[in-house]
Amino acid sequence: MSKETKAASSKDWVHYYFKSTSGVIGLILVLIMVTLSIISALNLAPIDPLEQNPVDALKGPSGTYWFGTDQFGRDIFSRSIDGMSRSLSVALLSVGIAALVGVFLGVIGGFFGGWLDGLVVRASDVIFAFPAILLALAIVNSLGNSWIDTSIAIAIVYTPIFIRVARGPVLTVKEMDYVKSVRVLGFSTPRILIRHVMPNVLAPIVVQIALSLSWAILTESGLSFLGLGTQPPDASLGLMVSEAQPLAAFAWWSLFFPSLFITVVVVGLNLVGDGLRDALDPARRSSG
Amino acid sequence: MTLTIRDVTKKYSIKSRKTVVNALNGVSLTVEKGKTLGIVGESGCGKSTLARLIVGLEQPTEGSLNWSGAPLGQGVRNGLRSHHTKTQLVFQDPYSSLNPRQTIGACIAEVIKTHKLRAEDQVNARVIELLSVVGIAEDMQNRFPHQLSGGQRQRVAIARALAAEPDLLVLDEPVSALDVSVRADVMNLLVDLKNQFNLTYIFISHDLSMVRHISDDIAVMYLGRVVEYGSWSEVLSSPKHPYTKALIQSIPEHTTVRGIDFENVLEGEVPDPANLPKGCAFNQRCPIAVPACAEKVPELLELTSHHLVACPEVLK
Ligand SMILES: Nc1ncnc2c1ncn2[C@@H]1O[C@H](COP(=O)(O)OP(=O)(O)OP(=O)(O)O)[C@@H](O)[C@H]1O
Ligand SMILES: [Mg+2]
Repeated sequence: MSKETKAASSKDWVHYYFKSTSGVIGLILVLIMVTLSIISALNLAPIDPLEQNPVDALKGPSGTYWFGTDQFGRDIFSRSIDGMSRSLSVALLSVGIAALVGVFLGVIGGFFGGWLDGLVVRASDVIFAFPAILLALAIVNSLGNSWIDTSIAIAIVYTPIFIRVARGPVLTVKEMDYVKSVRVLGFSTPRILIRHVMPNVLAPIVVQIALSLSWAILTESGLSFLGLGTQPPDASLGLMVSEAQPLAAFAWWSLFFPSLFITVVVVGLNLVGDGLRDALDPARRSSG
Repeated sequence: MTLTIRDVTKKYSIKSRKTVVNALNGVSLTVEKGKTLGIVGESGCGKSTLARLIVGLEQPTEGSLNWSGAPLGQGVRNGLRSHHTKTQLVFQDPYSSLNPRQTIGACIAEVIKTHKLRAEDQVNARVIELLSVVGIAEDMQNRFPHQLSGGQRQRVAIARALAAEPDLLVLDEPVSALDVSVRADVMNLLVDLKNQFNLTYIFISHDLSMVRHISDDIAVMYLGRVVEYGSWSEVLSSPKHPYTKALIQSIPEHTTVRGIDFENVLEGEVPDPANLPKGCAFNQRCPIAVPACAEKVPELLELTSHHLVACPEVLK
């Protein structure tokens, strides 16, 4: 019986998600970017992103160079998808770490309270006290420039956000009568946390994951823009935007396409976040 | 088997305001198996606090609660099955007492499976049986709580409590959040269930007229204390405590109580439980108070063998 029940409910929210036009558009945008990243990661880009063709420097978009070339004659399309792949890797790793650590600490702290919660809240307040980009800069500066270093820096900056996003709803949900009911029914604490608390705090966390992925992409771009992320000659969307600034007046494509990629993936992730928020909240759905 | 509540107090310390709320100030009650004890009193008198102590959600500050000699409620803390299924609680608000992400069938099935109350292949049949006992059609088991009416949700909450096969059911204002039109149905259901499963009830309400339909005994509470206790017929036909009289007076069909004017007695402010008045907690609102009432807290004393009153003035 419960297998049927579970299947029905999960089919329900997937079904509901696909009823939303903006959610579907967001998903398509994100999937396009993910596909391009995979193509790049598999070395299937039309042109080697590092290959320099000085004769073709600063050419506009054409059949050979879809997005045109930069000042070294490198293919901007291949570099853009390479940069996207790097950005997405950093975003996934950093948000993955931040969400796992932050949600774990937030749920445990919020549910059990006491000194443990005090410690968690104080630690996240300390991190919150610093402006995000400055903190990321400082951490990257002391760690290094590899994409893993960048990811760790961004993860540290975003962990407190996940602590807050998880802890707040847990404080509310643990006082709800349905949690008290299952305590009276004698369910174990892990069961209560996993089956009754987590599902009811999941929606804001999922939305936060989608939003944080887009912020992480912006942060990685920002770090690279400032010269502290991906190092030349490797491609990064932030670095490309930074390098294109003096060229933008006469080679618009060098600034436009990397910026477009950043915009598309950020907008796409935001739309997905909104769609998930609606789909995961049964009360928001129309009956059925 | 008897529920024995002895000298129970519950204090909540509120750190932010540096005060202590005296939610219960020495409550002693007994309920025999198969009986229904009705607990009435105004908002804030500690009814829900007592309910939480009985089912073990919280521990008393002082005093003890026993079910046929064994301490109640430790099970919730220690995760011991043997204790916690014996007492169950039905909350007032059926809109918050069911997990919004669980179908009602899964919600009841989880109780049966977690405590292995039926073989795996019998679980579904048991869920359907429990739903039908509370008057919910079998084909509704895949619905989520938000797809149900308040009355239906409360029936599901009752079915979930019954799934644990309790001896004692604490009903904390089970119908006050419901539409007036379905209250009588749910009350009748509760009466049927009690007889069908030989349950013991503690029925909490701020409304005397609700309690008298179901109760064998009635305890009237005021600011964390029982001020009058006895069989419902006796308490209702010859109430002694001025607070009980005022409560009865407030029921529409009882306009006067034996000629004494208790009008407006309940209109005054209830004292702050964080700052209890000296002596009898009711003395500031009481129409028959004498100076001594502000000196000493009155004890609950026997009027007859099954009628106790905490008011020396009426016992004179
Ligand atoms: N967790 C808590 N912390 C602090 N004070 C509390 C807590 N729970 C209850 N109280 C206080 O204890 C007193 C009794 O509350 P309780 O909920 O038991 O009253 P009640 O009789 O159930 O009222 P109602 O009819 O409104 O449900 C109130 O003054 C309330 O503010
Ligand atoms: Mg209450």
